Amino acid sequence: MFKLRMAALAAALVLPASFLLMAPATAQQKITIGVSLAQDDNPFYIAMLRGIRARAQELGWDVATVSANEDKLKQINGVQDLVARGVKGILISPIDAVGVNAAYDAAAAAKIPIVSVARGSASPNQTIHVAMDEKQIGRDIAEWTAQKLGGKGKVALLMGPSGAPTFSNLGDGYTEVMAKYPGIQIVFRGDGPLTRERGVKQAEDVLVANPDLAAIYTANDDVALGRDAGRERRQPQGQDPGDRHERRAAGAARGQGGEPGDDGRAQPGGMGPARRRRARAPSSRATRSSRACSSSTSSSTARISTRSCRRRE
Amino acid sequence: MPLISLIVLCAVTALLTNRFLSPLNLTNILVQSSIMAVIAMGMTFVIVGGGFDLSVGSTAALSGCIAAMVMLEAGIAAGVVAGVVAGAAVGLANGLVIAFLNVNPFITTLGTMVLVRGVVFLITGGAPVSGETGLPGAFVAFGSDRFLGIHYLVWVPALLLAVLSFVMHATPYGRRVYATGGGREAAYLSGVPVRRVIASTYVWCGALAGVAGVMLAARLQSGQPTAGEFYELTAIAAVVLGGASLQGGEGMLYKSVIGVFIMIVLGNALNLLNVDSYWQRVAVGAVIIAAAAAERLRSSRSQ
Repeated sequence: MFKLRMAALAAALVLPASFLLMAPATAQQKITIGVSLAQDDNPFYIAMLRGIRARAQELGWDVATVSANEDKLKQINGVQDLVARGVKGILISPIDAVGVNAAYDAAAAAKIPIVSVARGSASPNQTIHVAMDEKQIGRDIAEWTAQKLGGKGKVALLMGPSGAPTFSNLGDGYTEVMAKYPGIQIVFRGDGPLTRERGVKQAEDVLVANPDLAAIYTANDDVALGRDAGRERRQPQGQDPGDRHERRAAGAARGQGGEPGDDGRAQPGGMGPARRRRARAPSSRATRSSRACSSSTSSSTARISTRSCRRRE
Repeated sequence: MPLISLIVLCAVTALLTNRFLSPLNLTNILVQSSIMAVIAMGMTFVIVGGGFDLSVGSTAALSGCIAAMVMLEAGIAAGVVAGVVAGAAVGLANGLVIAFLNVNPFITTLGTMVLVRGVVFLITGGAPVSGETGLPGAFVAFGSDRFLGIHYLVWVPALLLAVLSFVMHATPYGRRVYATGGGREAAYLSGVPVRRVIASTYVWCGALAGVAGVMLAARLQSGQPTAGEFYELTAIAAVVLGGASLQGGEGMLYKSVIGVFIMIVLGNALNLLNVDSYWQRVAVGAVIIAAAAAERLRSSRSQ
């Protein structure tokens, strides 16, 4: 028994060390850049990191990654660790425009350039901000939606975390254009984390509160997929091939072979007209069409994925 | 024992990367540990008293936001006081419900965790609080500047540790907390006002979460309504790593701070060595379990 205890003690001491040994062996003279992700479990950042790694490999650089998982303090700490590690430059997606200024200060103090990617910062120490024209994307999507809706109907916005300017910009651009259409009413605008669970929940609630909702605008693929699940649970419906394609693309971006629910939905047989008819809305609202779209931000270039927008009649 | 774990962890990391012992990294570790150390000290009071507090993360967010809002209107001192008082008030509410209504601490503080987070979102409208031109310069400087080469944020837990260790180990009150946590019935029979003692541990915990919240606002240069999520779990893990018993009556403030250092150094080492962030989650979870198991085995052997 005593031996067992000693073994357990030894294991407890050795265990932390053994995790450290999993670190990849790196050549010291190689250039290393640091990446601070806002989240490591969101398809957008997973795809972004993959792009960064691919380019770094072409250049012969190493990439050191830290992830904040939406904890501001953790993002500051992670950037400090990158600075201490001696990286030559840092790419960061700041969780908050002000809250992680200390991270920028840490990089600036060590004279390391720090570049904001996708989300931006108000810090004077931000070297440069690489992003999409978020307001314009919001405007474009609003314009597209308004035209498809014929200029009337109720719409809802499922945006991102409240402190991140990216999502308020998307929403503001969208709201700005929708204000020009008196027939369109924004009945809901919700902030929240970019997760599928939250997409499901908010979409369900919005649909319960507004059964005649015409369109939902979601800020991000994961929220959109959650939203889809939320809607499909209420109303089974057919999908067009384009939509399936988008779904698969999003699944691939997540780095997995697709989501558990995808297999069932992607079967080619069940998408015929029969199912569509079954999914038709009650006759009193038969003329209404419902559409939803998301600004698909899966690549670093500004791109609006109209593939992800769909139509239901 | 927690100290040995910490030393082993530091030694192994230092062998693997020469960056670890650089002055920059060591001061980083101190400042990264500072806020969690304050929360863990409060948690130590509650856990030694035989309780449990899940609401500290939400309380820290509340205090940070209230401090930022009051500060923008009435100056830094008023903001800091308001933040700490708000934290203490949440702690008092927890303590009264738990000690006098005999509601289970887990459920009570789970309730306040959710409730307080809701209040934070209500008063801030969900948006970060930093005013038009940001929080006062002196307050922001407090979150980033140094005194005698050490960040101001590190002096706070250092001073608190000295004062609170005195309270815990050299006053009748401290002995009552240990006695109550070690055996409520026995403490009651020997004349300890156990209800008041239990309630007071939650006030300490809330007030210290408030102090941590104010430090967090300084560090984040804003009041952040979403800040502090899961801090309660890190704090509880750190206190248990420091050898406290969740049954109560056991635990030391300085050991809890060492527990915080173990958590922070582990994260720092994994970052310095570029361990994948998914593996980091696995590592942190495994280390918490292993260290707590080792601590149990050690204490059962010594009995």
